[in-house]
Amino acid sequence: MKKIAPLLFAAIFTLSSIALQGQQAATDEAQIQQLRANIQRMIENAPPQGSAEERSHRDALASLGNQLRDLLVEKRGALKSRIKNLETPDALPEVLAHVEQLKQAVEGINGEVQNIDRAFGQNLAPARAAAAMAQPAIQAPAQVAQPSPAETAFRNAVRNISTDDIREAAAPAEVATSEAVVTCNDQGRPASTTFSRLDESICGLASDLIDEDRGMNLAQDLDPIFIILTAQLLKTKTTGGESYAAFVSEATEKRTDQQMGAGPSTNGSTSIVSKGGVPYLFGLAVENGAAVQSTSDTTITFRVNPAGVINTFANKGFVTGFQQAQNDPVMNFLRKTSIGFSFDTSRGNQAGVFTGNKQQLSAISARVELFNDRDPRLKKYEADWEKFVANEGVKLAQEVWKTTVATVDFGSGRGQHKSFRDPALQAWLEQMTAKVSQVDASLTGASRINAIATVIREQAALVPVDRVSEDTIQGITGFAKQDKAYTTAKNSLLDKIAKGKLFTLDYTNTRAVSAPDTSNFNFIAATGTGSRVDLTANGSFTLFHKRPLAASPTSPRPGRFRDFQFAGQVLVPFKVGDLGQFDFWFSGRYERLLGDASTAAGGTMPGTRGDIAIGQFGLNVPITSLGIKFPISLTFANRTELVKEREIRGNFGFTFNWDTLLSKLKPF
Amino acid sequence: MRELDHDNLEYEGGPGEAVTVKVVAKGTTPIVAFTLDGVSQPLAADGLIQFNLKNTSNQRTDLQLILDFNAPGTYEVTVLGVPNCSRDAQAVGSCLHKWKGPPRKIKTFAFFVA
Repeated sequence: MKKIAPLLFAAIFTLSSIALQGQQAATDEAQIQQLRANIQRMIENAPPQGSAEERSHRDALASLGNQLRDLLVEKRGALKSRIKNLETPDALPEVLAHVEQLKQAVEGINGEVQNIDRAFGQNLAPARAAAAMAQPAIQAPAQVAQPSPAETAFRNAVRNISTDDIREAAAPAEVATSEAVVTCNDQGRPASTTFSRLDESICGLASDLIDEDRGMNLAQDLDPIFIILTAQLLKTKTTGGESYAAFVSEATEKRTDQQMGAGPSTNGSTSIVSKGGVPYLFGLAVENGAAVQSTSDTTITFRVNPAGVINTFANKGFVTGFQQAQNDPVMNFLRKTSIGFSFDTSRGNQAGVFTGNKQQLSAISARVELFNDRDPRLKKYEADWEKFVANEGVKLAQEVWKTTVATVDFGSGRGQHKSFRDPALQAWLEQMTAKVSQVDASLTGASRINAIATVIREQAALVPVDRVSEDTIQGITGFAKQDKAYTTAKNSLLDKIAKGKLFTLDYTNTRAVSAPDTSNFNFIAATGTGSRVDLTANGSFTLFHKRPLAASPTSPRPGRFRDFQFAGQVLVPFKVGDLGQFDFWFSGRYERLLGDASTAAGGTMPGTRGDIAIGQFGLNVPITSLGIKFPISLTFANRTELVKEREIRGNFGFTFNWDTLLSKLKPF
Repeated sequence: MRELDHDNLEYEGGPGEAVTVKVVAKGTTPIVAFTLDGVSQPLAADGLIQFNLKNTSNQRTDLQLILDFNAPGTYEVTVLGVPNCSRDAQAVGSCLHKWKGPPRKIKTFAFFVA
């Protein structure tokens, strides 16, 4: 009896606990239902917006929401505990099927908690809270297919592969880890102009998971997962590694038609040929003089695109702005224009220091693109894209499907989500999903994207290459080959578009200190060739605003026409490894001075009328991540405007394209 | 048509039920090819993909979309005639999936027979 008493007591205590727990669960469930009903009634009877009761209504609603959230979180904890107890290695199919239903209930609670957070976590107005809360709390349970014995065995195999097993099966760290980590911006794009397809895919995947508020899965994330597998499997198994440059970034770098510096009629320009194209926002160029005149000053040019500025100040992003401009006739015209302001820092009270005041303002220019064929979205390229999809797109779709079938098990029916056929790969994916879900939920913006991207990148380096089947390797190889063919064809089409014609009119009002001001009208035409060479031609003439004084009482007074000029440039872009795109150019310019040249002091230099021929070799050296280019050039001339002597001069400067930076910071 | 799992792109309907999926590109030229039960083709100009579900319970139709971009933009893919869509805040009776890019997306829908 003495031995039986403690056992009896323990049994009674256990049964009482279970009964109490059961009663507690039932009470909680009743409370949950009651809270849901009350919240629903509150939402349906919300006071008018802006009324005095709105505040107390919102507070009451938030209080109910918090109570409901607490109960749901408790319920979720209990469910997870049951799942953990039931999901054992020897669990029978009937138990696992029940576990799947419990997991669906957990997912439902997750959804409801997120709805509450959305509705009450951000002080939403009742209407929005209602919309958020109105989303179904728990999805109606679907009829879940019973897992087959093979599926159960597969699940067990996956469960038995530990993180250490995956680590051991991964390629050595020095092979698997990428050389340089590229961070992501808050829009899920690499925050650099030089990045691989892998970098782009990881940033995109991290951003998608946050935007869509979901976990990683094979229905939605095949493209980045295939890219990761391509990078890791093919690196270790076949080709020794292959980096796919992102074509979108490439397309931006290929835009060699933007003139960021001052036009050639301004002192201090390093270029002797003006180029067409209008930057989206504005460019800042600081350049140190060329051999156009015998004086050499430091000129700073700001070039502004009015449409870009309007959109930027309206707090709109780079691309949204462009899209809206396409639909609005006024904005569409403004998008094709730019205004430039050049400041000569040798002028003014503080010579050598850029003050940006009226004294230093040496030129004002306006530019309008009359014709630009270089946007891939133009209607005229639609047929090219349709042809591309019909050929390369369909081929890629076929290969992607083949790879999917080779590597992914679609499950036996409803409720059985897709999984990798390779248990090791599935375990790798599930471990990655679990790690991503542990990322600090309080992080926001780029910090959160980068935290998730870091987890994905680390897990990408752990692809269990030693435990992946030959079928999977062959499937991924097939995908990689077709993907490369697709990307090459797409780049060819983008290259063709980048060689489109461009015709621009440029007007420059040059403000001299003492000499008469001038107006220069420059017609700029540009096109590309089949061999990726960019050709630019200029034709211009310059007028004095008032006729200059004669050099001497006996000399004739110069007329209104100051000069006319013709110029041409051949530019060859080329890439050097990961350093970005360099541009080599050769330019020539012929200028006919119709009268004697004016000096800065306002006088006229006798005997300077005549022909000037200038040639120039140059190289643009990029720092792609900063959107900066250093133009270095060698200029040789038969004479300058003021001195009739041969001259050879070296020039350097830097150009800074805000478009590049802005597109990195806020590309959508 | 009924949504089974929004995030896993799973739907179900009656035997032989007609399914319409609409693809709209915004900010990019549509560069879309798709594979329906293993057969690949380009997306038609109207952006519609139409087919019928199979006739036997639990059979599936798989639709895989390749969505590419030539400029930053968004694809809006709508499965029409879904009254129970979990993300249908406006209660329009269809299920909208929005995907921004680049990079390119591969999305695989499953349509089951109930």
